[in-house]
Amino acid sequence: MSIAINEIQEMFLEESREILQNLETDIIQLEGNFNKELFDNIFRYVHTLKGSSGIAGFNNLYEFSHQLENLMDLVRSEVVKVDEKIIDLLLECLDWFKSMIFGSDSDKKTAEGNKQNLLNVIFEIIQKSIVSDSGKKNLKSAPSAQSGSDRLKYYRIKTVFREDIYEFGIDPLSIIEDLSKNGRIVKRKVNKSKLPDFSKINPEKCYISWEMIFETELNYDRISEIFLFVNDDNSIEISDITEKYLGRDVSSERKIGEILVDKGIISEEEMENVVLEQQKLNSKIGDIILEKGLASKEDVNNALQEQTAVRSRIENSTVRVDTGKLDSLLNLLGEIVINQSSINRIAEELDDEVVFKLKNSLHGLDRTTREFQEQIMSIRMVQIGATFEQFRRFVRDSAKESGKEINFVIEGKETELDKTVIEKISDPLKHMIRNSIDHGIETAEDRIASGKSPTGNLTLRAYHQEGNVFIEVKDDGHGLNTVKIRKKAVSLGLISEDEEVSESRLLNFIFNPGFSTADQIGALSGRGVGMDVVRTNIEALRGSIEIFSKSGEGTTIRIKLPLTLAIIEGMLVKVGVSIYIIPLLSIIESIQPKEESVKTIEGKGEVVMVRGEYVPLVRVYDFFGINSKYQNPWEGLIVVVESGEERIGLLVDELLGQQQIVIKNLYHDIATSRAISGAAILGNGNVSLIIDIHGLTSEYRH
Amino acid sequence: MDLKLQKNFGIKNVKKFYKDLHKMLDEDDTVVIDFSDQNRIHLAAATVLLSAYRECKKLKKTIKLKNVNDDVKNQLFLAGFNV
Repeated sequence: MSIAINEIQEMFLEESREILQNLETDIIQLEGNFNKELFDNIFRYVHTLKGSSGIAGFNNLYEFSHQLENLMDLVRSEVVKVDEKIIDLLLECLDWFKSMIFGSDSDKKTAEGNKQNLLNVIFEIIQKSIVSDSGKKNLKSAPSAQSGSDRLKYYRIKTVFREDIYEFGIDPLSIIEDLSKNGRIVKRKVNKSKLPDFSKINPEKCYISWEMIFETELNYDRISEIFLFVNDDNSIEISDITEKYLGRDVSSERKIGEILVDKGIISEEEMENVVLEQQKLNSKIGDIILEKGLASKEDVNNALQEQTAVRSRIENSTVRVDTGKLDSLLNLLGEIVINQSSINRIAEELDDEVVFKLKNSLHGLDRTTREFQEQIMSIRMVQIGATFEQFRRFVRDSAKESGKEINFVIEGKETELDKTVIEKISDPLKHMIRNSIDHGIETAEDRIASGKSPTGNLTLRAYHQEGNVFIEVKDDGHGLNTVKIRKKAVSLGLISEDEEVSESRLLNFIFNPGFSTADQIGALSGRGVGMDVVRTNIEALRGSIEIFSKSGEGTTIRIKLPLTLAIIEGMLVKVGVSIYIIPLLSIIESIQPKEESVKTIEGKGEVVMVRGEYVPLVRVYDFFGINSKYQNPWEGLIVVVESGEERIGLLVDELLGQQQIVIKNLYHDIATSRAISGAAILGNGNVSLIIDIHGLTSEYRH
Repeated sequence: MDLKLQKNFGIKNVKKFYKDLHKMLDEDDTVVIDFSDQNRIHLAAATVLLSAYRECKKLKKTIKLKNVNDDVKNQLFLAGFNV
């Protein structure tokens, strides 16, 4: 079965997105902290990008990455040192790849125009380094086709010298010794089969031949040069087996015997004999090799492991699945749960001995479906690390731009979160980080003057707690200025001049639209349009946001998010004949108020006294324009919910209990109200609407 | 019985070395070869030794090498000895 071109290109796009993200992370980490392993990773990414772009037919990318690879080869062979210029160049090349692969037509056009400039810089560095390194080992200096992609190469070298070679003044042993000085003989097999008995030997004749696996940094030509004087009259075979030796050649599955021959453990001749024997005996190759003592058990086991590893790479242990398919699967499972509740309900109404058995079976089914649900959910869970890592570049560039020194720390990379949540959290986080850099962390001079280290610290941290995910953006800057915030809040009429306001409430004003205390406007922050958008985005994810700040010590913004957007724990409440679902996460408590605790206050509307504090009262039946059993709050129930810092009381007829809800999305033409976030199908088949507390609070305010 | 290899030992005197060794192995069960003046060994000499070792194994005789420096040890390894 062949793969269509566009399918290959799609695969390339998917793969390159991941590669470019990893590249960016590693290049940023490399800055000021060169380590060979990290650079090798970077090299491998570029190498993969080159290979894949070639296969997908993106010749432009292939050629560009090839030149970049040449430069990187020089870094790997320590001819070129990694400095700021190289880091900047690598990042520019990375941006070039991004524009060429994912950019708009105009981005691509700009990148195409910039290509030659970048290549010129690459060539210039290569040229300079080759000239300055010409006195050093010639083989390490210039990248060539033969020097290949990895520094270490593996060659299988077979030498059979003519018997009278000593007569020409040549000692084959000194050639082999010369070879050994240029690398490492990983395996050597000295063939003595032609060596006569001691009494019959002619000491002036050569009987010895070699077969070896040789590890070296030298290219093929240089290896051939070692055998220059014996090449014509003797049998010298040199083959580059690097890919096979390292088990990287996954183009085809190799047999055990081939692996052992490639590793130099057994010779080709011995292998041929083993194969002949196998045809006669019909036993396993590995067993025959062991029986004949041609290789140790460990060698055979290693070869088997390598064969399995290659096979699994060929078979692909993972598959990429469209998240839409997972959503459909989850929806279908939701239907199963609904049908199951339906059967449960019918079973409850029956009274028979058979029903007892039916209920038992249903309990079992319930366990399985819950487990099934958890498994599907776990497939959707993605580690947050990749999202966090993409900010390294952003912090680096922003810090440079603002002339600040910032140490960026990432914690809790392994924390898992629903893929949809992760995709939507990136922009709010970027804004908060930018705020910290622009307005939180001071310049090096200011920090020194405040007795702090010149380098500011910015930490991005994620962790699980109580079934939620918390993400914190923490800086050790000068903290928020509550005096300024208060002044601004008064000027915007949010509070009166003499009103007593807690520090926590004051800090939360920064999430109000148009609220900014910044003296200077940055590229992304200081315009007063940021933090309210951040809060709206977080709330749209059914999360909440808190802020903590201490003058002179720094600010921490903490986001609380649900693990998933597909399922919620909800409280079913009845209003008239309708059933609504309130997310349990937003509920503080439910009370039945006394008549005297319900009042109407001018400018604030109807309120209810809850633990000494007046809370706005929202009559759900009124809000949604439906009938209810109770119109008097003291007859019904008040569910106190929280949205950000604000609390409201929802008047409902009764509480029906809590349950896990599989959320069904509603299209905008069905539900235009922000107070509804979705729907769920109940066990009796009825549809129930899920109340969006943030949306309801916002609509109520207006 | 000891056999000291002379200085500048190479292909020119390998025939003599072979003859001497042959004779010594005929006469004695153990032969000690002294390498103290040797910085390298020619493949021809190494081949003679390999063959002699194989013979000794059959005849239950012994050849011992002494004063072998690291370079020569490496050459012997490359020539097929398990040093």
